[in-house]
Amino acid sequence: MHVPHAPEFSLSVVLWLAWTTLALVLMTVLGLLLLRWWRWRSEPQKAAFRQRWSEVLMRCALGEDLKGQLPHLKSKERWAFMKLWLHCQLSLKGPGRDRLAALARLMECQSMAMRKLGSRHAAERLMAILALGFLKDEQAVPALLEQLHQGEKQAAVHAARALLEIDASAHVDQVVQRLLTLTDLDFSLVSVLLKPFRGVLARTMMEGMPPSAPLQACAPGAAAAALQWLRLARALSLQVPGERLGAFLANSDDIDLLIATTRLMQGEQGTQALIAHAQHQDWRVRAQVAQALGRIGRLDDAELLARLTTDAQWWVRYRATQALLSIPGLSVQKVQTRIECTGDRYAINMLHSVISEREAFA
Amino acid sequence: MNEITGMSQPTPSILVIEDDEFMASLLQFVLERQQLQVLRVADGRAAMALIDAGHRCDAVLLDWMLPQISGLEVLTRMQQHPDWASRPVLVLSALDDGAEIARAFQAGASDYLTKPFNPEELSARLLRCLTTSGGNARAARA
Amino acid sequence: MMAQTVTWLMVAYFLAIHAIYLMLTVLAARALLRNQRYREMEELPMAYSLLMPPISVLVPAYNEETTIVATVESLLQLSYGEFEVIVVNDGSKDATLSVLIEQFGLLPYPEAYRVQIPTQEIMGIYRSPRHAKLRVIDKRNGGKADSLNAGINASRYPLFCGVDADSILERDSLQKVAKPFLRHPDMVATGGTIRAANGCDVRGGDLHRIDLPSNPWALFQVMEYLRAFLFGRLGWSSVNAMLIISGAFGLFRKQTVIDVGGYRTHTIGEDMELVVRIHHQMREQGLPYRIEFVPDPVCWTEVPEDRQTLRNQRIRWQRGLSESLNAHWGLMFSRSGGWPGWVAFPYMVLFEWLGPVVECLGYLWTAYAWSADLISWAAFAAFLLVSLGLGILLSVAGVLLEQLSFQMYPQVRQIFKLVLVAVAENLGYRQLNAWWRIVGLYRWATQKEAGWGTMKRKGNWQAPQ
Repeated sequence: MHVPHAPEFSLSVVLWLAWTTLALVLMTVLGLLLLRWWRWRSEPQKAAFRQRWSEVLMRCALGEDLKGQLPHLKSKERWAFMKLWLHCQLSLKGPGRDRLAALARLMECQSMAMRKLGSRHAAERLMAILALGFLKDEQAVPALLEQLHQGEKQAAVHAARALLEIDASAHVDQVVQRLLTLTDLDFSLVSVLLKPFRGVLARTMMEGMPPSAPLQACAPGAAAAALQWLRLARALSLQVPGERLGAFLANSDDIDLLIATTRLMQGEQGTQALIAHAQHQDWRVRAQVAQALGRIGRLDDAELLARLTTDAQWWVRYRATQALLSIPGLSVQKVQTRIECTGDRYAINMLHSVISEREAFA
Repeated sequence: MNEITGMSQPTPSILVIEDDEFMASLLQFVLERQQLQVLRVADGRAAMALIDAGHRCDAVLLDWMLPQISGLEVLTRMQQHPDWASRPVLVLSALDDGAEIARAFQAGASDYLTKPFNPEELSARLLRCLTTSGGNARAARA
Repeated sequence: MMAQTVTWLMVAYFLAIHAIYLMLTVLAARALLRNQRYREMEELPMAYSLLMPPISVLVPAYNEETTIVATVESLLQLSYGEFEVIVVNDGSKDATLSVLIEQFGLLPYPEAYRVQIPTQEIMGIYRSPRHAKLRVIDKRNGGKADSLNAGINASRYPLFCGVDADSILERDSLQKVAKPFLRHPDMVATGGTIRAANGCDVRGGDLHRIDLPSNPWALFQVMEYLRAFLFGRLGWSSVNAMLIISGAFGLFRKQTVIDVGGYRTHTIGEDMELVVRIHHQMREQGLPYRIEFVPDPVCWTEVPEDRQTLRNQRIRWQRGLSESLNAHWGLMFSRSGGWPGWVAFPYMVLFEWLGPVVECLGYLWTAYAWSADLISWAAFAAFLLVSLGLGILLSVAGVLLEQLSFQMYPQVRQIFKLVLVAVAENLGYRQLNAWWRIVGLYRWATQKEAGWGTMKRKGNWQAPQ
């Protein structure tokens, strides 16, 4: 039987490949050295650039007259300048920012920012969006609106900030509308970026608050829309009137909605509806109710909270005990007596646990 | 006579404790424009070392979020030091949480400013702290 | 001729493994460049957000009296919003617990502890009145996995971060590994780059200056870690097929870990086993999930500097790998396997698990065949080229990639040292490593045999895990 045997190794091919590999290795090492040399050259240049322009930016922000004293900015340095400028804008507030914007417009940064809007790198696009906002460039509004409505989530939130910077009252409606429709929104980013505009956003948010009519009867998307509104309200630290929140609690049985609503409750209004959910079958709702009652701090709720300390779920017991101990006018002795009356081992255990916690950080 | 503070002393010096390089140079710039001398350190430990070495400053600008030793701890230790307990401390922080602000004042801060900050506001508050403490010092000596 | 065929097979093996490394390198390079731009953005002073997910940092400790205080102090200084540090004293025989009690003024604390994963008995829970974030759990010895499970039981927050007692973390480590959780709501676990701390100036748990070690064993490991993390993990992570998150630093969604049953005790590689189990179960149940790797250096750790310790470590790792793979054969080529099941797992089996055997056989065979004149010079040269030559090329490329991204070693002398190490590593260290891994594989196989043997003798047959 003829056994097929493996082809013979051609020495010339192998040697050729070996030389290629060696060449590639040497090229890589050369690349390393070139990279190092290039950095060694450019690092002091970059430091000098930062030094020079940081001083200019700060003098400008403090209102000094810089006419005729501006160093020349090469076009290839413009983006680096803009990043430094962005850094300044985000570190300061007040009239200094307007002066910085005027300076950047003088340096013709608008066209650079518009160009970077189409960059391949997502991070550069985001910085460009912010820059256009801080430049207060009206001509950039159409492009920013496009980012708001069609860009991906992060870009939309950055565009929201930029549009509010340019003209808050003109764009706030569109911003709120868009934020309410974005699914899986990064609320932490929203909270950070839109913080300076909370006041303006609050007014529009309250006007657009979803109706609190029974949500089951409404269109299927109503509950989701209400949930998004409530989460956004929390991210923006909105003070929502208690009666409105109470109406939500009374008219809905969607768990996420109940939790989101309860998180916002602050004052005494609407506590009736809150208390109604204290025995909800889902433990998360019960825990949030306990926490909210603790925030509100009414003496009348103490009895209910005491009952919740004997709940089957750990988190409910924890929140209820914490809430009880934070009600003003209720001494630790009284709480202790009341809970020991229940005879519930877990409740007593939790009480000692939470008391130690509080004592440790008095 | 120092025109800004109205004190008949040499230029007041401010200790700036801030870990972010950019922010620190920004603060230095703003303060130097107000004819104040600035001493910069980048973290809590360096600040404590400076204090223990016997340095004196007229006021402190303290960042709340610091590496290794938190701003709160630096403030607390300053309050326990005989020379530094009387120095006004202006806390600068990105947190605007009511509880944190309360904690800062309880620990002995003279004032609290949030970041991003208004340079004019910062200067005004710092100068007020300086003149108040300078006035107190003069009254104490009288 | 037979000899020729065998040599061809060996050449094919090395070509295959290096081709895969190349693919991973390309994927990793793309991910690194993307990450580069994001880092520029992160330098901007965006105000501090308190809505970052709170994290429980779990530190299992066994006989760590010399380093535990420094580690805990540096953990308490991490730059993050809301987090807690839970040290789990795993029945240490030395003064670990007393050192902690003394340094932090710990007081026993009647904590209401809830058992979600069964563990060894808890002797006591302590809290520090000076540091609100710190808690210490004292329990009976049960191993690292058991300690982590106890930490999970005691943790308050939805995410937990498992850290080694001698890990040195960068100040913003938690921020970096938590960010992917914000970007993707279905993220369940993230890991970061571990770097070798040997040669660095570490004072009281903080990293002051970064430098290369002078010890040759440590140097080789620096190169290895660079490759393993920069290419390996990052490359696999970009296709959601990362099968390992190092126990030295990993962030997990607590509920997911509880749902899959917590860490498995009596396992050597509990860190890898957990991640493979997450892939397996999430895929089986068809649940959407992501596991991502953050290329930023987040954790520094001391690597062994002598041959014996290193050898034991590698043997242990190979046994851990064997156990993890052996427990989850169902993932390989399963219908819902995806990239993990169809590419990463088979890769692990072929090239990481059985690979060392093929490698060693390859070297031995080629050396014998060439000296016995069974194969031509060309064949010998070809073998050397694919085994050593390509290895050197990829190692040096790794150094370049590191310089292009994080430049932890920017000086010229460090670059030269790294290049030398990249070459020297392939001329003995990797081969030695392959041998150690064979020993590990053998030990695992024989231990298993012994285990079954004992069971058979006892007469009770336990269902295989």
